[in-house]
Amino acid sequence: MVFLAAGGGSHQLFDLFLNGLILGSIYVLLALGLNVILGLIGVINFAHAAFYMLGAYLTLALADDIGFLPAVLAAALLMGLLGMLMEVSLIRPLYKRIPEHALLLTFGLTLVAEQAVRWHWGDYAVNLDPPSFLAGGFSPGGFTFPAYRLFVVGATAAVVGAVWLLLNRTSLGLVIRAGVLDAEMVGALGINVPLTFTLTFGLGSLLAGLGGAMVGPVAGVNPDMANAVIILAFVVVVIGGLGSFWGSVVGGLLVGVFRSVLVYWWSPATELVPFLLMAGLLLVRPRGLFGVEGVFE
Amino acid sequence: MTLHRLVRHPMLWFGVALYVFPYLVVALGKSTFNASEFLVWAIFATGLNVLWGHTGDLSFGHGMFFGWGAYSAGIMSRHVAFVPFDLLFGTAVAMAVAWPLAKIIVRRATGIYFAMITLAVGEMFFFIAIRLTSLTGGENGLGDIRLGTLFGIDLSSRVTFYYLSAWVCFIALCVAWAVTHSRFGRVCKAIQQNRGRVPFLGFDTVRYRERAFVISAGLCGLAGALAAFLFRHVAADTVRWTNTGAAVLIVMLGGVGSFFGPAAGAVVVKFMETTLIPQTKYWPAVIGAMFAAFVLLAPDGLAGLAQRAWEALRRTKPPEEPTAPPPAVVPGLEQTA
Repeated sequence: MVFLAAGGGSHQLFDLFLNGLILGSIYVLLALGLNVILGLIGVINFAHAAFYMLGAYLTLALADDIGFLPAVLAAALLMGLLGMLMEVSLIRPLYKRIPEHALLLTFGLTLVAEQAVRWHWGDYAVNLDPPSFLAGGFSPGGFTFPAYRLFVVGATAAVVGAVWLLLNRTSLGLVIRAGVLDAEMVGALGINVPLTFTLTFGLGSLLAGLGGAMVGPVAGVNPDMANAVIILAFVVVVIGGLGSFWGSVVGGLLVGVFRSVLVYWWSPATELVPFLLMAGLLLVRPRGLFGVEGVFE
Repeated sequence: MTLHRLVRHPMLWFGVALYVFPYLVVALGKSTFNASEFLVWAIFATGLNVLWGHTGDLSFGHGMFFGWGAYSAGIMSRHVAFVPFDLLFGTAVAMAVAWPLAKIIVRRATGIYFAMITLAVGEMFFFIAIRLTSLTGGENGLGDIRLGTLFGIDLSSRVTFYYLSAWVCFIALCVAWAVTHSRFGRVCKAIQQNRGRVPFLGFDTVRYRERAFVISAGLCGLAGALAAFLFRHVAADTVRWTNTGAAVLIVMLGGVGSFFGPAAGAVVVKFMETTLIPQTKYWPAVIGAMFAAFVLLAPDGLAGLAQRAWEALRRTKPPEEPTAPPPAVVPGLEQTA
């Protein structure tokens, strides 16, 4: 996922920075979904990256028939539905057990999802073209802004804003946040907590599906994309802080930008930097950038 | 230890089983090579279980110790072609790497947080391993692993190699038995059951978990070192998290916390794998679905199923003694949590 542009110096650095922002946007969506589920339900959803991959493939499958933007929306919504279905049928029976069991169950489901994708779409990587109305770009002052990349960053910003408003300015968000603090007490107040859990799981899966749906034209689509990205999503969550909204946003952008820009000076950094960031942070601040001490530790 | 107790000791029967095992495997249509491979995974799973099954810390990064053991034993074999030394060297390197990591990670994380961090650290070592091309062979993997002879015995034959694997597996499981059935093992078990209470008894839980982490890493390293000699090649993917995932799956399927469960799980899963691979290239889906079903329906794994079957069998006996004593004679199963 490295996109070296022609030309040198500050222009190349700028291109790398922009690429980092795009990668970062995708990480933000993934980590935010993971973190919302973790924060409320206390479940690490290993299948999160499977939703991301399925979102990408669904977009690929639907884009020709219904157009790119509707395909992105449909893929994200379908992933949200699938997440809700999974929560009701498979995750719910595990709430009484230790949290590791949900992690293991979703790990098993990831293996199944990956093989299903290989079976239906083949083992090879597929490239996806951005839609024609986002294909071009503009270049004021020699700096190139490809339209599709700006679209990814803008859409992510809009979604992050919408999720923040949902969590902080609506009564559903109030219930979700109250559920994080004390699910039992919220239930005692007459609120349907299991339904809230299902909706939250759906929201998280929708965000993963949306990230996957938008990543196709940037990095291509392949059956290993879930395996490759799940670790990064975990790393972003750990860096940002477990259960922290802004932690995921800052962590995702940080990892994306660092990963991309450091190639300019030292190319092995692409893969190692997220882990080095995490390790360094772990030593000085185990709860992550914005994490609350004692939560999930 | 009196002769009577020795004869009743489960490890003795395990040793006997190791002698019968290759005949069984061959009778079921697999090769002696497969039998050695199953034992490698049995050691790996037992090693992971020493940590996960006893302290409750689920590590998703023990593949890195498997990899460290494999790489260092493979490289050492070029200098000292004496297999026992190379195996010990691999184990020692894995433990030496694990110690500082345990110091950093164990104190700071538990539960799913622990799983996430070990996963990320393991993946970091994967990227380091494929970058250090001159040492590890990069993405092509490490070749040129020299087996040599052991006291004049040629190890390159599959049968002699099986006997080597069987001895290594026997010694590894004896060590694991000694560790888990000691006072140390009981404290670890207590940590798994109630992490908050153990410090009140005056035990430093972090120290016990750190030690369990290092011992478990050593056993995984030994499994990796043996695998290096078995395959005569170390693929870079051995360090990747998918390899750890396979081991985690095996331990869960066999029965977390039971002594022989993970080893049995290794044999069952790897047997299924070698049977499924020629049939369908989508075999991981079958294993994954089976694993998910176990997590949902039988979280105590094969060992738990065996124990329940044993109890059901005892209950169907004539009701002379309505309160049957707990079946503590089933080796290793009595501790299934």
